[in-house]
Amino acid sequence: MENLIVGFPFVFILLFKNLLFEAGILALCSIVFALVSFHSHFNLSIPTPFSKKPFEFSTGFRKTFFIFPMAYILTLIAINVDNLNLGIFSFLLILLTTLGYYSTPEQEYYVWVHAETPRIFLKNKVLNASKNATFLTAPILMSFLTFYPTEFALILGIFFLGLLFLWTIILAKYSAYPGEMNLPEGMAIAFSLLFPPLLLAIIPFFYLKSITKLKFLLNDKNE
Amino acid sequence: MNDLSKVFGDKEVLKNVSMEFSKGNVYGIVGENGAGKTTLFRCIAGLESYSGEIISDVTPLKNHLGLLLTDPFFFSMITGREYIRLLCNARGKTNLDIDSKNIFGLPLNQYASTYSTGMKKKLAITAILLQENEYFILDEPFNGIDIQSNIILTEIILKLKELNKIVIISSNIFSTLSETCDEIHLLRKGEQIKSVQKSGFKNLEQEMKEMTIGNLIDILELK
Repeated sequence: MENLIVGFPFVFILLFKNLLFEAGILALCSIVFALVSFHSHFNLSIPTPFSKKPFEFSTGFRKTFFIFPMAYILTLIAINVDNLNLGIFSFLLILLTTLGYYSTPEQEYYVWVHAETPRIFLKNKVLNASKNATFLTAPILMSFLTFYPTEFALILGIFFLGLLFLWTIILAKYSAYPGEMNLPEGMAIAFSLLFPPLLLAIIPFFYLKSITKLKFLLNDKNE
Repeated sequence: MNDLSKVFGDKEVLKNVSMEFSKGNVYGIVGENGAGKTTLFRCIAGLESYSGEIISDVTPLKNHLGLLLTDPFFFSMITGREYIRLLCNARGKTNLDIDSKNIFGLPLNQYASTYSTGMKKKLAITAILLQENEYFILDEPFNGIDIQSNIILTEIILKLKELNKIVIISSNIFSTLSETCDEIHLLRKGEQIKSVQKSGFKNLEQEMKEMTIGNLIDILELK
Protein backbone atom coordinates (compact mmCIF):
# COMPACT_ATOMS: atom_id res chain seq x y z
CA MET A 1 0.00 0.00 0.00
CA GLU A 2 2.83 2.40 0.95
CA ASN A 3 4.58 1.71 -2.35
CA LEU A 4 1.34 2.35 -4.26
CA ILE A 5 0.78 5.65 -2.42
CA VAL A 6 4.30 6.82 -3.23
CA GLY A 7 4.01 5.68 -6.85
CA PHE A 8 0.53 7.07 -7.40
CA PRO A 9 1.46 10.67 -8.38
CA PHE A 10 3.86 9.35 -11.01
CA VAL A 11 1.33 6.85 -12.32
CA PHE A 12 -1.20 9.67 -12.47
CA ILE A 13 1.15 11.88 -14.52
CA LEU A 14 1.90 8.99 -16.91
CA LEU A 15 -1.83 8.34 -17.32
CA PHE A 16 -2.41 12.05 -17.88
CA LYS A 17 0.25 11.96 -20.61
CA ASN A 18 -1.52 8.92 -22.13
CA LEU A 19 1.44 6.66 -21.44
CA LEU A 20 -0.73 3.70 -20.40
CA PHE A 21 1.94 1.03 -20.81
CA GLU A 22 4.51 2.89 -18.66
CA ALA A 23 1.86 3.67 -16.02
CA GLY A 24 0.95 -0.03 -15.87
CA ILE A 25 4.62 -1.06 -15.49
CA LEU A 26 5.14 1.47 -12.68
CA ALA A 27 2.03 0.34 -10.78
CA LEU A 28 3.07 -3.29 -11.20
CA CYS A 29 6.60 -2.55 -9.98
CA SER A 30 5.18 -0.79 -6.90
CA ILE A 31 3.37 -3.97 -5.95
CA VAL A 32 6.10 -6.45 -6.92
CA PHE A 33 8.90 -4.61 -5.09
CA ALA A 34 6.81 -4.58 -1.91
CA LEU A 35 6.73 -8.37 -2.03
CA VAL A 36 10.41 -8.86 -2.76
CA SER A 37 12.85 -8.90 0.14
CA PHE A 38 16.24 -7.42 -0.65
CA HIS A 39 17.75 -8.87 2.48
CA SER A 40 20.13 -11.60 1.49
CA HIS A 41 19.50 -15.02 2.92
CA PHE A 42 22.63 -16.33 1.26
CA ASN A 43 26.07 -16.37 2.76
CA LEU A 44 27.28 -13.95 0.11
CA SER A 45 28.22 -10.35 0.57
CA ILE A 46 27.86 -7.56 -1.96
CA PRO A 47 31.32 -6.35 -3.05
CA THR A 48 32.11 -2.79 -2.04
CA PRO A 49 34.96 -0.48 -3.06
CA PHE A 50 35.11 0.80 0.54
CA SER A 51 36.22 -2.41 2.22
CA LYS A 52 39.69 -1.09 3.14
CA LYS A 53 38.29 1.52 5.52
CA PRO A 54 34.98 -0.04 6.40
CA PHE A 55 31.99 1.37 8.16
CA GLU A 56 29.53 3.99 6.92
CA PHE A 57 30.36 3.82 3.21
CA SER A 58 30.93 0.05 3.02
CA THR A 59 27.64 -0.82 4.73
CA GLY A 60 25.78 2.12 3.16
CA PHE A 61 26.98 1.21 -0.33
CA ARG A 62 25.64 -2.33 0.09
CA LYS A 63 22.25 -1.04 1.18
CA THR A 64 21.95 1.41 -1.72
CA PHE A 65 24.11 -0.16 -4.44
CA PHE A 66 21.29 -0.05 -7.01
CA ILE A 67 21.19 3.78 -6.84
CA PHE A 68 24.62 4.17 -8.45
CA PRO A 69 24.08 2.43 -11.80
CA MET A 70 20.74 4.26 -11.99
CA ALA A 71 22.46 7.62 -11.44
CA TYR A 72 25.18 6.83 -13.99
CA ILE A 73 22.61 5.76 -16.60
CA LEU A 74 20.65 8.97 -15.92
CA THR A 75 23.83 10.94 -16.54
CA LEU A 76 24.31 9.20 -19.89
CA ILE A 77 20.70 9.97 -20.81
CA ALA A 78 21.18 13.59 -19.68
CA ILE A 79 24.23 13.98 -21.93
CA ASN A 80 22.44 12.22 -24.79
CA VAL A 81 19.39 14.51 -24.66
CA ASP A 82 21.56 17.51 -23.71
CA ASN A 83 19.75 18.14 -20.43
CA LEU A 84 22.20 19.41 -17.83
CA ASN A 85 19.48 19.68 -15.17
CA LEU A 86 18.79 15.96 -15.40
CA GLY A 87 22.52 15.34 -15.05
CA ILE A 88 22.69 17.55 -11.98
CA PHE A 89 19.78 15.61 -10.53
CA SER A 90 21.68 12.30 -10.91
CA PHE A 91 24.71 13.95 -9.31
CA LEU A 92 22.61 15.15 -6.36
CA LEU A 93 21.01 11.73 -6.09
CA ILE A 94 24.40 10.21 -5.25
CA LEU A 95 25.29 12.97 -2.79
CA LEU A 96 21.91 12.67 -1.04
CA THR A 97 22.34 8.90 -0.82
CA THR A 98 25.72 9.29 0.89
CA LEU A 99 24.26 11.79 3.38
CA GLY A 100 21.94 9.00 4.51
CA TYR A 101 24.93 6.88 5.58
CA TYR A 102 25.46 9.21 8.52
CA SER A 103 21.88 9.58 9.71
CA THR A 104 21.96 7.18 12.68
CA PRO A 105 24.46 7.12 15.56
CA GLU A 106 26.61 4.03 15.94
CA GLN A 107 26.85 2.08 19.20
CA GLU A 108 29.27 3.79 21.62
CA TYR A 109 31.81 0.93 21.40
CA TYR A 110 32.54 1.92 17.78
CA VAL A 111 33.48 5.43 18.85
CA TRP A 112 35.26 4.38 22.05
CA VAL A 113 37.49 1.91 20.18
CA HIS A 114 39.28 4.72 18.30
CA ALA A 115 42.65 5.68 19.73
CA GLU A 116 42.17 9.25 18.56
CA THR A 117 41.35 12.64 20.01
CA PRO A 118 37.92 14.03 19.05
CA ARG A 119 39.60 16.42 16.58
CA ILE A 120 41.46 13.64 14.78
CA PHE A 121 38.41 11.37 14.93
CA LEU A 122 36.22 14.01 13.24
CA LYS A 123 38.94 14.96 10.76
CA ASN A 124 39.30 11.33 9.67
CA LYS A 125 35.52 10.90 9.39
CA VAL A 126 35.18 14.02 7.23
CA LEU A 127 38.21 13.21 5.03
CA ASN A 128 37.15 9.62 4.49
CA ALA A 129 33.59 10.65 3.61
CA SER A 130 34.83 13.35 1.21
CA LYS A 131 37.19 10.91 -0.50
CA ASN A 132 34.51 8.24 -0.88
CA ALA A 133 31.82 10.68 -2.07
CA THR A 134 34.28 12.07 -4.63
CA PHE A 135 34.99 8.53 -5.82
CA LEU A 136 31.28 7.81 -6.31
CA THR A 137 30.51 11.09 -8.07
CA ALA A 138 33.73 11.16 -10.13
CA PRO A 139 32.23 9.44 -13.25
CA ILE A 140 29.44 12.04 -13.37
CA LEU A 141 31.78 14.93 -12.61
CA MET A 142 34.24 13.88 -15.32
CA SER A 143 31.46 13.44 -17.90
CA PHE A 144 30.10 16.90 -17.11
CA LEU A 145 33.48 18.53 -17.36
CA THR A 146 34.01 16.81 -20.72
CA PHE A 147 30.59 17.56 -22.23
CA TYR A 148 29.78 20.85 -20.52
CA PRO A 149 33.15 22.60 -20.12
CA THR A 150 31.45 26.02 -20.13
CA GLU A 151 29.49 25.05 -17.00
CA PHE A 152 32.71 24.13 -15.19
CA ALA A 153 32.25 26.64 -12.34
CA LEU A 154 28.60 25.68 -11.72
CA ILE A 155 29.38 21.95 -11.63
CA LEU A 156 32.32 22.31 -9.27
CA GLY A 157 30.27 24.69 -7.12
CA ILE A 158 27.51 22.11 -6.72
CA PHE A 159 30.10 19.45 -5.96
CA PHE A 160 31.77 21.47 -3.19
CA LEU A 161 28.41 22.49 -1.78
CA GLY A 162 27.47 18.80 -1.69
CA LEU A 163 30.67 18.04 0.24
CA LEU A 164 29.90 20.85 2.70
CA PHE A 165 26.49 19.29 3.36
CA LEU A 166 28.16 15.91 3.87
CA TRP A 167 30.47 17.45 6.49
CA THR A 168 27.48 19.16 8.10
CA ILE A 169 25.58 15.87 8.44
CA ILE A 170 28.61 14.10 9.95
CA LEU A 171 29.20 16.90 12.45
CA ALA A 172 25.47 17.20 13.21
CA LYS A 173 25.42 13.46 13.97
CA TYR A 174 28.24 13.69 16.50
CA SER A 175 26.95 16.96 17.94
CA ALA A 176 23.90 15.02 19.13
CA TYR A 177 25.84 11.85 20.00
CA PRO A 178 25.05 9.38 21.52
CA GLY A 179 21.49 10.48 20.82
CA GLU A 180 19.98 10.75 17.37
CA MET A 181 19.88 13.97 15.40
CA ASN A 182 16.80 15.85 16.48
CA LEU A 183 14.71 18.92 15.68
CA PRO A 184 17.43 21.57 16.32
CA GLU A 185 19.95 19.79 14.07
CA GLY A 186 17.25 19.09 11.46
CA MET A 187 16.13 22.72 11.44
CA ALA A 188 19.69 24.02 11.14
CA ILE A 189 20.27 21.72 8.15
CA ALA A 190 16.92 22.69 6.59
CA PHE A 191 17.69 26.42 6.92
CA SER A 192 21.13 25.93 5.39
CA LEU A 193 19.52 24.12 2.45
CA LEU A 194 17.41 27.22 1.87
CA PHE A 195 20.34 29.56 2.45
CA PRO A 196 23.68 27.73 1.98
CA PRO A 197 25.92 30.55 3.34
CA LEU A 198 24.53 29.58 6.76
CA LEU A 199 26.81 26.54 6.54
CA LEU A 200 29.73 28.81 7.37
CA ALA A 201 28.26 29.29 10.82
CA ILE A 202 26.59 25.90 11.25
CA ILE A 203 29.67 23.79 10.46
CA PRO A 204 31.89 25.36 13.17
CA PHE A 205 28.97 25.24 15.62
CA PHE A 206 28.38 21.51 15.05
CA TYR A 207 32.12 20.89 15.11
CA LEU A 208 32.62 22.45 18.55
CA LYS A 209 29.54 20.70 19.91
CA SER A 210 30.79 17.34 18.53
CA ILE A 211 34.17 17.83 20.22
CA THR A 212 32.41 18.34 23.55
CA LYS A 213 30.18 15.30 23.04
CA LEU A 214 33.06 13.01 22.04
CA LYS A 215 35.46 14.12 24.77
CA PHE A 216 34.27 11.60 27.34
CA LEU A 217 34.18 8.49 25.14
CA LEU A 218 37.53 9.26 23.53
CA ASN A 219 38.98 10.08 26.95
CA ASP A 220 40.44 13.38 25.88
CA LYS A 221 41.30 15.55 28.83
CA ASN A 222 43.15 18.17 26.81
CA GLU A 223 40.50 19.36 24.36
CA MET B 1 42.06 1.24 41.00
CA ASN B 2 41.16 3.06 44.22
CA ASP B 3 37.73 3.46 45.81
CA LEU B 4 35.82 3.03 42.58
CA SER B 5 32.13 3.70 42.99
CA LYS B 6 29.32 3.95 40.50
CA VAL B 7 25.77 5.11 41.03
CA PHE B 8 22.83 4.71 38.64
CA GLY B 9 20.08 7.01 39.91
CA ASP B 10 19.79 6.17 43.59
CA LYS B 11 21.26 2.68 43.17
CA GLU B 12 24.90 2.20 44.08
CA VAL B 13 26.15 -0.43 41.64
CA LEU B 14 29.82 -0.37 42.73
CA LYS B 15 30.89 0.47 46.26
CA ASN B 16 34.48 1.57 46.90
CA VAL B 17 36.12 -1.17 44.88
CA SER B 18 39.93 -1.17 45.02
CA MET B 19 42.07 -3.57 43.04
CA GLU B 20 45.61 -3.69 41.71
CA PHE B 21 46.55 -5.39 38.47
CA SER B 22 50.16 -6.23 37.63
CA LYS B 23 51.75 -7.03 34.28
CA GLY B 24 51.97 -10.70 33.35
CA ASN B 25 49.00 -11.67 35.47
CA VAL B 26 45.49 -12.87 34.75
CA TYR B 27 42.66 -11.76 37.03
CA GLY B 28 39.21 -13.21 37.42
CA ILE B 29 36.15 -11.29 38.52
CA VAL B 30 33.32 -13.46 39.79
CA GLY B 31 29.93 -12.72 41.20
CA GLU B 32 26.24 -13.39 40.66
CA ASN B 33 24.30 -11.66 37.91
CA GLY B 34 23.96 -8.01 38.90
CA ALA B 35 27.04 -8.10 41.15
CA GLY B 36 28.56 -5.25 39.12
CA LYS B 37 31.11 -7.10 36.97
CA THR B 38 30.12 -5.56 33.64
CA THR B 39 29.75 -2.09 35.19
CA LEU B 40 33.24 -2.46 36.67
CA PHE B 41 34.61 -3.35 33.23
CA ARG B 42 32.82 -0.43 31.60
CA CYS B 43 34.25 1.94 34.21
CA ILE B 44 37.80 0.65 33.69
CA ALA B 45 37.33 0.99 29.92
CA GLY B 46 36.04 4.54 30.25
CA LEU B 47 32.59 3.78 28.90
CA GLU B 48 30.99 4.88 32.19
CA SER B 49 31.71 7.81 34.47
CA TYR B 50 32.62 6.91 38.07
CA SER B 51 33.98 8.30 41.28
CA GLY B 52 37.33 7.08 42.49
CA GLU B 53 40.61 6.67 40.70
CA ILE B 54 42.02 4.46 37.97
CA ILE B 55 45.73 4.83 37.23
CA SER B 56 47.61 2.96 34.49
CA ASP B 57 51.18 2.79 33.20
CA VAL B 58 50.17 3.82 29.69
CA THR B 59 47.62 6.54 29.13
CA PRO B 60 44.96 6.88 28.07
CA LEU B 61 44.27 3.34 29.19
CA LYS B 62 41.42 2.87 26.71
CA ASN B 63 43.75 3.25 23.73
CA HIS B 64 45.68 0.15 24.83
CA LEU B 65 42.73 -1.89 25.99
CA GLY B 66 41.11 -4.78 24.14
CA LEU B 67 37.54 -4.95 25.34
CA LEU B 68 35.39 -7.98 24.68
CA LEU B 69 31.77 -7.24 25.54
CA THR B 70 29.47 -10.02 26.76
CA ASP B 71 27.30 -9.65 23.71
CA PRO B 72 29.29 -7.95 20.92
CA PHE B 73 27.21 -5.84 18.55
CA PHE B 74 27.69 -5.99 14.78
CA PHE B 75 26.22 -3.70 12.12
CA SER B 76 24.21 -5.22 9.37
CA MET B 77 26.13 -5.74 6.13
CA ILE B 78 29.63 -5.65 7.60
CA THR B 79 31.70 -8.74 6.87
CA GLY B 80 33.89 -10.48 9.43
CA ARG B 81 37.00 -9.25 7.62
CA GLU B 82 35.74 -5.65 7.59
CA TYR B 83 34.89 -5.82 11.30
CA ILE B 84 38.46 -6.86 12.12
CA ARG B 85 39.79 -4.16 9.79
CA LEU B 86 37.55 -1.52 11.39
CA LEU B 87 38.72 -2.34 14.91
CA CYS B 88 42.39 -2.53 13.87
CA ASN B 89 42.22 0.69 11.81
CA ALA B 90 40.76 2.38 14.90
CA ARG B 91 44.01 1.56 16.71
CA GLY B 92 46.22 2.54 13.79
CA LYS B 93 46.99 -1.05 12.79
CA THR B 94 46.81 -1.33 9.03
CA ASN B 95 48.08 -3.76 6.36
CA LEU B 96 47.28 -6.81 8.44
CA ASP B 97 47.31 -10.28 6.97
CA ILE B 98 43.95 -11.18 8.44
CA ASP B 99 43.57 -14.50 6.64
CA SER B 100 46.72 -16.04 8.09
CA LYS B 101 45.60 -15.01 11.59
CA ASN B 102 42.08 -16.39 11.30
CA ILE B 103 42.79 -19.13 13.84
CA PHE B 104 39.12 -19.88 14.54
CA GLY B 105 38.49 -20.54 10.83
CA LEU B 106 35.74 -17.92 10.55
CA PRO B 107 34.02 -17.26 7.20
CA LEU B 108 35.45 -13.74 6.96
CA ASN B 109 33.69 -12.79 3.72
CA GLN B 110 30.29 -13.44 5.23
CA TYR B 111 28.27 -10.75 7.02
CA ALA B 112 29.07 -10.84 10.75
CA SER B 113 25.38 -10.40 11.59
CA THR B 114 24.71 -13.83 10.08
CA TYR B 115 27.24 -15.52 12.40
CA SER B 116 26.13 -17.72 15.29
CA THR B 117 26.60 -16.41 18.87
CA GLY B 118 29.83 -18.38 19.26
CA MET B 119 31.21 -17.21 15.91
CA LYS B 120 30.44 -13.60 16.79
CA LYS B 121 32.38 -13.97 20.02
CA LYS B 122 35.32 -15.59 18.21
CA LEU B 123 35.31 -12.75 15.67
CA ALA B 124 35.34 -10.12 18.42
CA ILE B 125 38.18 -11.96 20.21
CA THR B 126 40.22 -12.19 16.99
CA ALA B 127 39.76 -8.46 16.38
CA ILE B 128 40.94 -7.35 19.84
CA LEU B 129 43.90 -9.73 19.67
CA LEU B 130 44.99 -8.26 16.33
CA GLN B 131 44.80 -4.76 17.83
CA GLU B 132 47.95 -5.68 19.80
CA ASN B 133 46.73 -4.31 23.12
CA GLU B 134 48.56 -4.13 26.44
CA TYR B 135 45.47 -4.76 28.55
CA PHE B 136 42.54 -7.06 27.95
CA ILE B 137 39.10 -7.18 29.53
CA LEU B 138 37.16 -10.25 28.53
CA ASP B 139 33.57 -10.25 29.74
CA GLU B 140 32.29 -13.83 29.60
CA PRO B 141 34.70 -14.92 26.85
CA PHE B 142 33.90 -18.62 27.19
CA ASN B 143 30.12 -18.23 26.87
CA GLY B 144 28.64 -19.67 23.71
CA ILE B 145 31.84 -20.92 22.11
CA ASP B 146 32.49 -24.57 21.35
CA ILE B 147 34.81 -26.80 23.36
CA GLN B 148 37.66 -26.66 20.80
CA SER B 149 37.58 -22.86 20.81
CA ASN B 150 37.46 -22.92 24.63
CA ILE B 151 40.73 -24.82 24.61
CA ILE B 152 42.25 -22.38 22.11
CA LEU B 153 41.04 -19.39 24.13
CA THR B 154 42.53 -20.77 27.34
CA GLU B 155 45.87 -21.13 25.58
CA ILE B 156 45.59 -17.60 24.16
CA ILE B 157 45.04 -16.20 27.67
CA LEU B 158 48.08 -18.08 28.96
CA LYS B 159 50.12 -16.76 26.03
CA LEU B 160 49.03 -13.18 26.81
CA LYS B 161 50.19 -13.72 30.37
CA GLU B 162 53.54 -14.95 29.05
CA LEU B 163 53.75 -11.79 26.91
CA ASN B 164 53.47 -9.70 30.09
CA LYS B 165 49.98 -8.39 29.36
CA ILE B 166 47.27 -7.78 31.94
CA VAL B 167 44.13 -9.84 31.39
CA ILE B 168 40.91 -9.44 33.37
CA ILE B 169 38.21 -12.04 32.83
CA SER B 170 34.74 -12.64 34.10
CA SER B 171 33.26 -16.06 33.72
CA ASN B 172 30.43 -18.12 35.11
CA ILE B 173 32.45 -21.29 34.65
CA PHE B 174 34.83 -21.55 37.61
CA SER B 175 37.12 -24.13 35.99
CA THR B 176 38.02 -21.73 33.16
CA LEU B 177 39.10 -19.16 35.72
CA SER B 178 41.02 -21.53 37.98
CA GLU B 179 42.94 -22.72 34.92
CA THR B 180 44.02 -19.27 33.78
CA CYS B 181 43.87 -16.79 36.67
CA ASP B 182 46.48 -15.75 39.21
CA GLU B 183 43.96 -13.98 41.41
CA ILE B 184 40.19 -13.93 41.63
CA HIS B 185 38.12 -11.07 43.03
CA LEU B 186 34.66 -11.85 44.31
CA LEU B 187 31.99 -9.18 43.95
CA ARG B 188 28.58 -9.20 45.60
CA LYS B 189 25.99 -6.46 45.12
CA GLY B 190 28.71 -4.06 44.02
CA GLU B 191 30.98 -4.77 46.97
CA GLN B 192 34.36 -6.42 46.81
CA ILE B 193 33.90 -9.36 49.16
CA LYS B 194 37.31 -10.96 48.88
CA SER B 195 40.39 -11.46 46.71
CA VAL B 196 41.89 -14.91 46.50
CA GLN B 197 45.30 -16.02 45.23
CA LYS B 198 45.72 -19.20 43.15
CA SER B 199 46.43 -21.35 46.22
CA GLY B 200 43.00 -20.48 47.63
CA PHE B 201 40.92 -21.18 44.50
CA LYS B 202 39.77 -24.63 45.71
CA ASN B 203 38.47 -23.19 48.96
CA LEU B 204 36.83 -20.29 47.12
CA GLU B 205 35.02 -22.69 44.78
CA GLN B 206 33.84 -24.76 47.72
CA GLU B 207 32.74 -21.64 49.58
CA MET B 208 30.84 -20.35 46.56
CA LYS B 209 29.19 -23.73 46.11
CA GLU B 210 27.99 -23.84 49.70
CA MET B 211 26.88 -20.23 49.62
CA THR B 212 24.99 -20.59 46.33
CA ILE B 213 23.51 -24.05 46.67
CA GLY B 214 22.81 -24.28 50.42
CA ASN B 215 19.77 -26.54 50.67
CA LEU B 216 18.24 -25.39 47.35
CA ILE B 217 18.50 -28.85 45.78
CA ASP B 218 16.80 -30.50 48.77
CA ILE B 219 13.89 -28.10 48.38
CA LEU B 220 13.21 -29.60 44.96
CA GLU B 221 12.69 -33.05 46.56
CA LEU B 222 13.84 -34.70 43.35
CA LYS B 223 12.59 -38.30 42.97
